[in-house]
Amino acid sequence: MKLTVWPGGFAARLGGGVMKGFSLNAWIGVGFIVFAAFVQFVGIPNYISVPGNVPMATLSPRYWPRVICGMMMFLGAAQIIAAYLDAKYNVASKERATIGLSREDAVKIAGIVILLFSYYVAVKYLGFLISTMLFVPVMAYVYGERRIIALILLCAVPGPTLYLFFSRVAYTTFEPGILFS
Amino acid sequence: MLEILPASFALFLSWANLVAVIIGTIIGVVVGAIPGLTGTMAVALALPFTFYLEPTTAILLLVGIYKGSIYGGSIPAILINTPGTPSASCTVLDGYPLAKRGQGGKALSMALYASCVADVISNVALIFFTAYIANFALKFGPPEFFTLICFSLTVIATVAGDSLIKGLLSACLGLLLATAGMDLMYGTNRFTFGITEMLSGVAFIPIMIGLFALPEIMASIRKQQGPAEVFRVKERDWTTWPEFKRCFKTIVRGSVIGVVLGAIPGIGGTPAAFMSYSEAKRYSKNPERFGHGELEGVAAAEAGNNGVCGAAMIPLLSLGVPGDVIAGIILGAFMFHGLTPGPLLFQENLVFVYAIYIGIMLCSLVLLAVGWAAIKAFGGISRIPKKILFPILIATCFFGTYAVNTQGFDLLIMIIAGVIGYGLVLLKIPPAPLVIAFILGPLFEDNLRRSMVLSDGSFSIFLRSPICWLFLALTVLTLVIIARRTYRGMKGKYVGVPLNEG
Repeated sequence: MKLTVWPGGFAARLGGGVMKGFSLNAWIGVGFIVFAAFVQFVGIPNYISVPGNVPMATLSPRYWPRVICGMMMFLGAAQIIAAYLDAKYNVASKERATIGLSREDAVKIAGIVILLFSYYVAVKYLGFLISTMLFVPVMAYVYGERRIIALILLCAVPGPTLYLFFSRVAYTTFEPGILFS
Repeated sequence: MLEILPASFALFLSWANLVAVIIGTIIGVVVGAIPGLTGTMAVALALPFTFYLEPTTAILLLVGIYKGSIYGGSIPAILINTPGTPSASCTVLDGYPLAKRGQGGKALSMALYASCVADVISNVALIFFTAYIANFALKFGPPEFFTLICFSLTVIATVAGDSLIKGLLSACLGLLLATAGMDLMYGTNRFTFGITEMLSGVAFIPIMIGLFALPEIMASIRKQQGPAEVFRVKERDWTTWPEFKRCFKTIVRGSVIGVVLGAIPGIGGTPAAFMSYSEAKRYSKNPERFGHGELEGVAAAEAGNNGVCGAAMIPLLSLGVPGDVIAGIILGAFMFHGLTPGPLLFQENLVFVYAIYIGIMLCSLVLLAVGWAAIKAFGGISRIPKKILFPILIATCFFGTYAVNTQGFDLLIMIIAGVIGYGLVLLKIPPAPLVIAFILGPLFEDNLRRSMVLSDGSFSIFLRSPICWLFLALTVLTLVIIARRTYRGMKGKYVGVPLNEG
């Protein structure tokens, strides 16, 4: 069974067929091993400070993160072995990952993510009220809403309603936004 | 006890108390149903208003909010894959698949019935077994907590889905994420990257909303949405009596688990919900259905988290030690009204205590009525087209996440968690183990270190009491069962299957 697998397929082209059997599940294992190694050898030494008077290893702030990274590397290796066995025995297992993301879908998802980050930045600069009044109709348009009346209502109603509820009922203090402060 | 009941009834039976129970439950359900808002927040906000009320009325209002919010969190968990409260994270696993199959009403009603039954059982435990359960809870020290958390972590295998290894990898991510922040023992920085907001660690609400809600919203842009009816809460599609009977044992079991864990200070509803779910799956005749829309899974999760409600009051009333954060706020209400929870409360204010008990029992009935109304009201959400619902939902998530700590950094965490969550979905890595590990990881590490301090580095401290032996034995037994099941699965997959020669 040929799987439409990316980046397994990409790796296959790169490796000239050598990596043909290296399914996405195996890449997941590799990814976790690389990530765990990075945290173990770069992250922990640089971003966890240890005081000088720790009496035993188990009390060190670095102890538990190191244990987790060790477990992650072990499990990553187990994942690679499991993926290899699946491929060797031609098992069409349910947990076999295939991304199956078309270019069009990838662009749409990327667009949503960019919109979310834009909303976050807008909140910082414009404040919650104005940014929500802008974001909701834009998001609705992206999701396929084309009626002007609906978009106007989505601009005028949800943002102020949420703002009033959270500020008056939940007593949340909202920053005015960098441009207005 | 019987002789003070008339006086307690007389104290309880006032319009103010009845209204407090009803209003409190309604507020709790509404708050719990809004992602980002929690029962803790609602109780904290309501606390100042209770200063002007009679003590009984004040406590009943806060308890009503507490119980309502625990149930309310299941509504968005089932309808839109977004737990309204942390303890509803487990309800998502089977509730949302049921809603996608057009059985949202069934899931919501089962959640309601399980919540009410668990609430009653929890209240009964509070009323009749406070002394025994409080004594049991008193025996828990760091080694006992550690062994309990070890056992709780085995729950991860249950929610790992089809791939145990991927589930464990997801859990490792959660454990690592939970280490960020200031080290509790030495006050040094761990993975704060020089960011001030990271000193208090990564907040749970942004992670929860990011992992569950945002991936679903992102995924919906990919496909043409089916008719809105597929998520519709159908008018007559409620849990039937045979279905409830089938799940009754699970509900009782989950309630007992919730009571035991709720009485232990610091554990909370989320681990109880997952443990109840895990046990339900273990005893089920159809364990393979769990995680794919099994009604018993919803019942187990809700029974577990609601079983905690009354039990969290046990250490509060009997020892003056709050069982969770909300109980801690309720302790504040007690203190303001000149009441000191603990043994003295039972000696000097027994009439008041039993009046509270009566009110708490009424809360369960009120929850049933309010829950019915809430299902009808919130079920209307499923009729709103996705192109209008999802943008409003995202905005609500932003507001709710910001409201937790009033810091914009949490919004960034939520978005990043959403991207990671979507990646996990694409790679078929389950997010539930990450959530469980994120909650239990700090407890695990903290109690390990405390135990090492107590024992001067000797691991034999984890064998010091029967409670430790019990939980260690349960952990080992569970691991053996998991290993056997995994081995059998591998044998079935690989033995006798022709090799792939290609």
